[in-house]
Amino acid sequence: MLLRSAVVAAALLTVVGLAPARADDAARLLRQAITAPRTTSFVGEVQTLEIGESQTQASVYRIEHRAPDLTRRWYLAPQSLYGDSVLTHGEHRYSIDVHRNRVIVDENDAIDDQVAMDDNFGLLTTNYRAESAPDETVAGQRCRAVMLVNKHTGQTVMRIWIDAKTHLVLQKERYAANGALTSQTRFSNLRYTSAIPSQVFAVPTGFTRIQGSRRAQPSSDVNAAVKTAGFKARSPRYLPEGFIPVTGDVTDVNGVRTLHLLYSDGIRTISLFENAKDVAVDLSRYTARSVRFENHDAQYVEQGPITLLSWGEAGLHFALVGELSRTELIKIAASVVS
Amino acid sequence: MNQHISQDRLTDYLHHALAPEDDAAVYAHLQACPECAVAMRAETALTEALQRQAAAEERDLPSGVTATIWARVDELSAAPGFADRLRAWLRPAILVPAAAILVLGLFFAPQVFRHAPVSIDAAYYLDDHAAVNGTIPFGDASETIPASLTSTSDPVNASAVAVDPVTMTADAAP
Repeated sequence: MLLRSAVVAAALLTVVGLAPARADDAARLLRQAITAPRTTSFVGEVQTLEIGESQTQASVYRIEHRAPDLTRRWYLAPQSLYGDSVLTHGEHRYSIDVHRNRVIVDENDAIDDQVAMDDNFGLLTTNYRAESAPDETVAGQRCRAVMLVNKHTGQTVMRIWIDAKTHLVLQKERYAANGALTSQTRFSNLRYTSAIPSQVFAVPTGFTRIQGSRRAQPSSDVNAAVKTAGFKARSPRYLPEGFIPVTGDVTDVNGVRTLHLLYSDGIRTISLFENAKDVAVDLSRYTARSVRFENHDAQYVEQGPITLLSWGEAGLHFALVGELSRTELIKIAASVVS
Repeated sequence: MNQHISQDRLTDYLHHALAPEDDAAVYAHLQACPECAVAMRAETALTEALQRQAAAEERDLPSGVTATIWARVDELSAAPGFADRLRAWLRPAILVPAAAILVLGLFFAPQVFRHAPVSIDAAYYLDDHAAVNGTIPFGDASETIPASLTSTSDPVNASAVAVDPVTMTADAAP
């Protein structure tokens, strides 16, 4: 009996002693994984699966990445995108649509916002516990698996497989509140090489260039963004545990001044868009469904695990976008109008 | 004209309301037709009687009112003419600012008065949400298929509006 107690105590001491060390190790690994693409070049193939409540999207693309910030993705599937590609040059994105013979150019200054990345990593470690899982092999590389467990709910929200040598994320899975898989990204045919010709990343000529969005670096001073909006904006009174306002930005969208507030818990995000011109969201390209809350008629669409909820209120128009469950999004939306 | 002249036609003739050829025909008939000439004289007498009655009932305006009206008429006659008024409006102190306002109005009018769109494509919101996820750990926006590749319409024209300087730094991270 005494021996048994001693063994249990020793085991507990071992666990207690090792647990913080393993957690620190996992957190360090996460940090390395975030910055890995800046120093590691590679070519490979990626399969993505985005699973919604009523719709699932899958894609396969060949990827060529030359560190620090040149990336090309050639779509092999779905069939409607075959031959299309997306080139990323730092904050510039070129979507090459070979079917319509056009290149859409977007700018996104947020891509290189190191301060925001550090802030958000801090948010992640505040709300999530990194737990190591048994090593696995992905795309021929030995990977260390890390689970991100929500400290408030105890649910595993994400699981990532990180190459033990390069720290590149080779597989990633996200889970809904009930544990269901909502998205998966997985590498195959991976090869690490920096010998990727520059021509691969050249924007092709002979296409019509169309200017897309120009996104500024969002402000982490959300109040400043709200003031810039020029109208009395609203914000939700309810957010899931761990979520806080992260950034705000104001954009003229087809001449309509639009406020965009981003809320996050470090992994999951919610975007609240609002305009004061009562300009609604055009859902005609999607399968829109109706829902009613707090005496408001709203509509929603699902894109894989992402839901967009749209409604109007007293001259304002709102669009709430996020990968939370529809029930949770409606609860947030209700707190905006109540 | 062999028939006698009707009463209405006589009245019109008396008030010079007939066309010249009709007027000439009535005159010729009156010269040749004693009956119509009598009727004409009766009509003339009646008209004159009515005019005398009307004149007898007229009241003269008070002399002060008449004087005031004539004084105003004289004043207007002495006022500057159109050319004078135009020259006054075209002096530089008025003309230059007016021209500037006109030019600015022509420049900004299309922006001020252009119609707001009825709606904004949902793809814009989905894309923008994915874009800001770029700074969220493992929220790689590149995994999302850009809506511009799946849409047949032109992308939404969106440009950022400058927000005041950031007041929170990494040290004050949540």
